[in-house]
Amino acid sequence: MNTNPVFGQYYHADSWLHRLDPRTKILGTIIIIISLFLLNNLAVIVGAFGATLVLILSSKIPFTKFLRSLKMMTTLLLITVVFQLFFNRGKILAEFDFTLTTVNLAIGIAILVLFFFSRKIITKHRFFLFLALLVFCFYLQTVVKSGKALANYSLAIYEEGLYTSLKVVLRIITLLLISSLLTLTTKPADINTGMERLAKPLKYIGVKVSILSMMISIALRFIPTLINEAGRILKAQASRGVDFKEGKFMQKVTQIISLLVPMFVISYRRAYELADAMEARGYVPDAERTSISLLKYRARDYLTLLFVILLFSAIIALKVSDYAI
Amino acid sequence: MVEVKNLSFSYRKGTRVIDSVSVKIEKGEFVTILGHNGSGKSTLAKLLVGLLKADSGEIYLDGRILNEDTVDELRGKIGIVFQNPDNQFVGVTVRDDIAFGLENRCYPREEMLRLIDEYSRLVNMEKFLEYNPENLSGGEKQRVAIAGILAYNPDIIIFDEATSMLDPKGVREVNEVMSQLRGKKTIIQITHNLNEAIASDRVLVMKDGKIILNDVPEKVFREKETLKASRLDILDCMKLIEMIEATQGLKNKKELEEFLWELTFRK
Repeated sequence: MNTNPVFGQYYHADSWLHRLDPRTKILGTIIIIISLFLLNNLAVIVGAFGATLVLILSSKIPFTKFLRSLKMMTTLLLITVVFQLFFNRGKILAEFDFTLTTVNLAIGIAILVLFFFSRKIITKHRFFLFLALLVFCFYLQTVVKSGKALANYSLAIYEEGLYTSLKVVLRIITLLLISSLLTLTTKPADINTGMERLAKPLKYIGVKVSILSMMISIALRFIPTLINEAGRILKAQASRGVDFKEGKFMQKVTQIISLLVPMFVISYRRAYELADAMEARGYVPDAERTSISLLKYRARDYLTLLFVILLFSAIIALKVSDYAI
Repeated sequence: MVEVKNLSFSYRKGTRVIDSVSVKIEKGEFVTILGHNGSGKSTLAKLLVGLLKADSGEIYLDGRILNEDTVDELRGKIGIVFQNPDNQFVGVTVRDDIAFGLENRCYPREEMLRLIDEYSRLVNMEKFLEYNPENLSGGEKQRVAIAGILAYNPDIIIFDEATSMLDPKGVREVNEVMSQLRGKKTIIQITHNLNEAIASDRVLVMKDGKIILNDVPEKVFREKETLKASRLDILDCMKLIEMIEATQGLKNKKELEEFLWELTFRK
């Protein structure tokens, strides 16, 4: 059973970032993310990255928590690096000549076959293993020249490519770290309340902010309940002989359906009963209501916001006056 | 005070789930509505809190008629605890959940904090205010639901099978809170368990949408045939009396042995 006190990424610690008002953190994060996209100088981006690391240190949250969000994006990062590296022309840094011969083609195929059959033995990090093997196959083509040559080609890495890929990667990493900093230091419910307060003016253009935030808060409330429920249904179906781990694609589909159908039916009934309970306790959608959660700007919030806004204006000012930042 | 006059309701055209029900419940009374599945007891509760709209007939709460115009206002007079503890927990924490009914009625924050403090104490949940529902037992969640209703101070509280999904400990905890409220609030308890009805001032037995018995518990429990006809079990002590009465006609030890054998086999 899931006994996590709070759903989501939130990591409890006592730091100035935890104590900040959620509105400050949301606004600050948005402004910083916009600034990051304005920056285009490698040195400045490295500086921003360094500053983010300092922020992380001051949040008293172990760095491994941040690695989790980075891990999910590794594939995207790798693809970006490869594309930027090879598709930006300019000054040549290094050039590699590849020769595809019968010998290294055979070795390459052998490696792929071995990789395929190692499925049962090596189960973890298979994607990275695959990448490593792919790189190795290309490396072979530069070294092993024996056998009948089938094709000759060359790839070059350019200085611009290297710079651009570094910039892009650092920018994405900084962006991920900054946004994880928000979700790690703020409870989901607080983020929701902060969003609601910030979006309040939107009601004048007809957006039903209170209903939207009620929906999010109910979703947050029921996610752990539904996870527990899914776990129970999985066990119940497993006890009736459904095997969720093995099976061909079509069998997997039926297995998923055997989970989804009861989940859907139960959630529907839940929603019905919850609506009754809410109505009986006097909830009228979009009616005026007060709130138990108190958000209060303190000196530290004003200071933080002031700093972020000054930083942002400085970046804009430098951009406008044609500095290469 | 609750007054129901000639109330009828049907979900679809045809069968009436509630069939011309008329009943009066006095202020401060503890009334139990007994009935088997499908007898209309929960539907009656939903009609009383204005979640369903009656086809015909009237409901008066404190002398005021319940209709579309008055329902928002009259909901402040009546609260309902539902069966499933999970599906009536709206807040992310206990504090938020107790506050929900108060937020809807635009209480100022200081007042809310005071009321939450007062009523969480009343149901013995004051130490759990920051807890999330996943970390509470069914009985604890039901107590939070009761506190959430008491906080906005209604005169009438309906317990709609509020203990039927709880473990014995949870049932005991909820019943303790219920007995504390006795006399202070009008309590309408809905159940299919006769043993839960013993303590109440009056028992209404429902069958096919009609109230077929309406009397003090002692008298209702004596109507064994009617209870059986409404597919309700009779009280354990009544069963014992029935058995003792059956032994009256026995002449000797042999016959008693036979009788006891039959009883055992019938089980």
